Amino acid sequence: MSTTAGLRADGVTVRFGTKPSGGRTAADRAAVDRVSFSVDEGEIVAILGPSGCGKSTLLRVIAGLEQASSGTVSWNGEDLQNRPPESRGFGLMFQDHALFPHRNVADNVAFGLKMQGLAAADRERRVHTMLGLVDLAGYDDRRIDTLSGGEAQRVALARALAPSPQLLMLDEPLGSLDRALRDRLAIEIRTVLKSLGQAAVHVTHDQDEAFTVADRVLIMREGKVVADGPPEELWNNPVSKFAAQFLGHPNVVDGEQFGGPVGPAILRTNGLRQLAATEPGALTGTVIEQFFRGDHYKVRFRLDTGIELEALSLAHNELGSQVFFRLAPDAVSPLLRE
Amino acid sequence: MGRLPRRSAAVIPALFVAIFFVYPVGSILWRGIGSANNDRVRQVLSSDAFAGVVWFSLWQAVVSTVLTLLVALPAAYAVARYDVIGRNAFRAIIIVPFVLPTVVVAGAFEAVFARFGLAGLRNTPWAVLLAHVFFNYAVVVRIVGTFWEQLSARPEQAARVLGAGRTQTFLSVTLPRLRPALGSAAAIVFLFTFTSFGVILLLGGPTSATIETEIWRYAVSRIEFDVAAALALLQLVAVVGLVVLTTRTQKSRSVDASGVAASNLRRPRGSQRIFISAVVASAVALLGVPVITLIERSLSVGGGYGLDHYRALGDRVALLPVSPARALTNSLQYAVMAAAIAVAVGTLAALAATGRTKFGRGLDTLLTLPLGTSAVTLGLGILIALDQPPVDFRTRWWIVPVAHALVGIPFVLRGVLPALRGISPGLREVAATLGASPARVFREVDAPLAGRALLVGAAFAFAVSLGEFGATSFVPRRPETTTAPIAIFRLLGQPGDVLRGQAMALSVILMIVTATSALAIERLHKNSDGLL
Repeated sequence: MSTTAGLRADGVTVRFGTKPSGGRTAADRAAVDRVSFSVDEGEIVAILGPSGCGKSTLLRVIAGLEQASSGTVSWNGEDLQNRPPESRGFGLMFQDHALFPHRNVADNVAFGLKMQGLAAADRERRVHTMLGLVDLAGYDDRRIDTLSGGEAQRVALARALAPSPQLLMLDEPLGSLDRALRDRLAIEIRTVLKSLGQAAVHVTHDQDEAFTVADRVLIMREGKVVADGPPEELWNNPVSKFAAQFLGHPNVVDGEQFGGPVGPAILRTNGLRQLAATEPGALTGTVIEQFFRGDHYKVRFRLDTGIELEALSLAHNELGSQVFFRLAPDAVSPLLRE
Repeated sequence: MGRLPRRSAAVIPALFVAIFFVYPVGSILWRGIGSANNDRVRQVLSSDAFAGVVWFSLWQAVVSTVLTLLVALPAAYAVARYDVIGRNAFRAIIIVPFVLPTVVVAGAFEAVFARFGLAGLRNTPWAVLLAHVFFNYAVVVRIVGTFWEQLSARPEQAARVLGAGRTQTFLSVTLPRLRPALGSAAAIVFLFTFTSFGVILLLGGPTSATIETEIWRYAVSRIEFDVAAALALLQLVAVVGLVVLTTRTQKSRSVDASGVAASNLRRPRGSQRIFISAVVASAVALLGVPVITLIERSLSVGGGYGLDHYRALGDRVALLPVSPARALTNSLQYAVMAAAIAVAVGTLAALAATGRTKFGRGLDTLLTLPLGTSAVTLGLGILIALDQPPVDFRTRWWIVPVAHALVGIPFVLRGVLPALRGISPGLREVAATLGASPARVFREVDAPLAGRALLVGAAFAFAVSLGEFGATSFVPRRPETTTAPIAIFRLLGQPGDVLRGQAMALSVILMIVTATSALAIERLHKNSDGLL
């Protein structure tokens, strides 16, 4: 982080103007509020947050499609303030893929190369390489409206990568796809980006996707970055209650009751192991909900203290029956008070 | 996206419309208001004869509208519900009468009356009504038919299951659901027929006069500009009132909640086949017979057939300052120029108005105004306002294509604007991040995607210019600028088979060119729903 290589955002703030008519709008709050972060060369950073948290706006500022009200964006130490999007050398990939409907697959992928003034033969070679990379060899002459959602996203990825951008930005690239395809493509995107050593910023509201694709994850809330770290670190120690809940931690509790420090804490489900019978120090509760999840059950049970917890179970548990869980001491992580 | 450079593109369209439309038409209105205390104007407006003119203007428009609805509704139903071979061809072909020049249609009905011994219909209101139905058949079939097709057939099926008979179902379920489409189709037909000019002048005879033809008569034959201006003002007020009324009622409409069905088309069986045949037969009788008879008449020479009338087009005729062939060449040249002007001005305006801002809407409205203004008012405005320096344009030859372009611009704008707005901003942004400068983005993304709409607009502007009669009849003060519709008008107005034959021949050529451009528009407009 101390080097100047790669992308650096410093105190980036975006305010959308208040209406001159004086009507009260939400514009008093900045869409992006003093955000600072960096992306090293070859690093994939995911920006994770609910819709409206400002993550896409931040991406558009980096791309040069939106002006920051204050703060700077620089690449390798050079301030990008006065560089229009077309000369930043950054690639961008949208959720709706934004493929040019009047061009076929090959011409879409070749677009950026054409803008660079590459010779036709070199363009063609590069297009072939890129289509091979995204597993669409032979799709050159296909029309855009004949592609499936997944194929269209692959073409969009190939198009964004073809001119070898310094930084690739992906704005909810898998948002319009169904779950299974989304999981598969997220892995593919990471494989492709890593094989090229491509630096990338990946914006998403889906934590599974962020964890799959990224080396490092930023969580945004109401324009601010509230957490920043590698996926495992964030998951194990989400720091804020918002981040914990957003990442899908079901058990936000008072730490003191479970052997941790006083104050809010998470109790990770993988630190709860089910026991056949009770033993000293075990948690005892009554099953109130149970969901079948294929290779396991998700079970909710209520302790005597009235606290409800969620855990994984390999066996079926009758509603209302007693269950016993052992809590691993390191499964409790404190959260900041809000 | 630079907002200011885009907006500055509005300067040329705004100036164009200001000089050639707002100023002339504004002058008329000003003159009309100023003449309110003029004794002569008062005398005309309070005369019984004028009351008769107002009555006839309204009466013929109402009856034309009702007749068109009655005749075209079965066809709208057939198009909406039955999957028949040639359904799309039918939808495409019926648009041809709608774009035909009024003088050509008048010529076609003259031909029908002469050929089938119906001379009694000449110079009667019936001839006017027939021609109006001929013109506006497509308006109803297209607007109502397309709307009907998108309505789910389920509510009707539910009504039948609940015990309603066929007729009862139609009256109590279908008709109310069709009301929005029926309303807008009726409003359009009424507006067209209320301001109809060439048809009334040529087919109605001396006893049929509407406000529109009276404006022309007072301005051109009697040179009483004050009266003409007062009439134009009156007519404009009526038209604006009608437009406001229709947009009001359209706003208060609720959305049909029964949903859009994927397809309600089915193959006709049994008696349904007879119904379809009857629809086709009536369309052929109403739309086909006049067109075919016009062609037949243009070829008929003495007892047999030949191309004599066509050959004679190159000869000078006493009535006309130039040969009919020269008039045709003029028309084609003007039409190309009008289309070019409309494309240039309309595209600039579309670029400037792309943002859905107040500015964009304002520009859009300003440039659409000429479409709602009657042709005669436009012509009169140019005649009386653009005759003094620095705007002494009336005698310039180019005022003709410029006046035609005014009517063509809205077609270009209305086509290109939605196409530009429909381009997802993501496409432009992606192109920018891939290294395309703003100019390059326009060339690589906007131009190809809006190009088809631009061609459609150009073809419309071309067809409109080719057939334009109302405004043109005021403008050319130089004899060599006579256009084909003016030539047809003069030739039809005279007795004598030779001249009529030439009028028919000229009409056929004009018809072929406009029909070709209309069908080209159909081809370009892949998924055309609605009227055009």
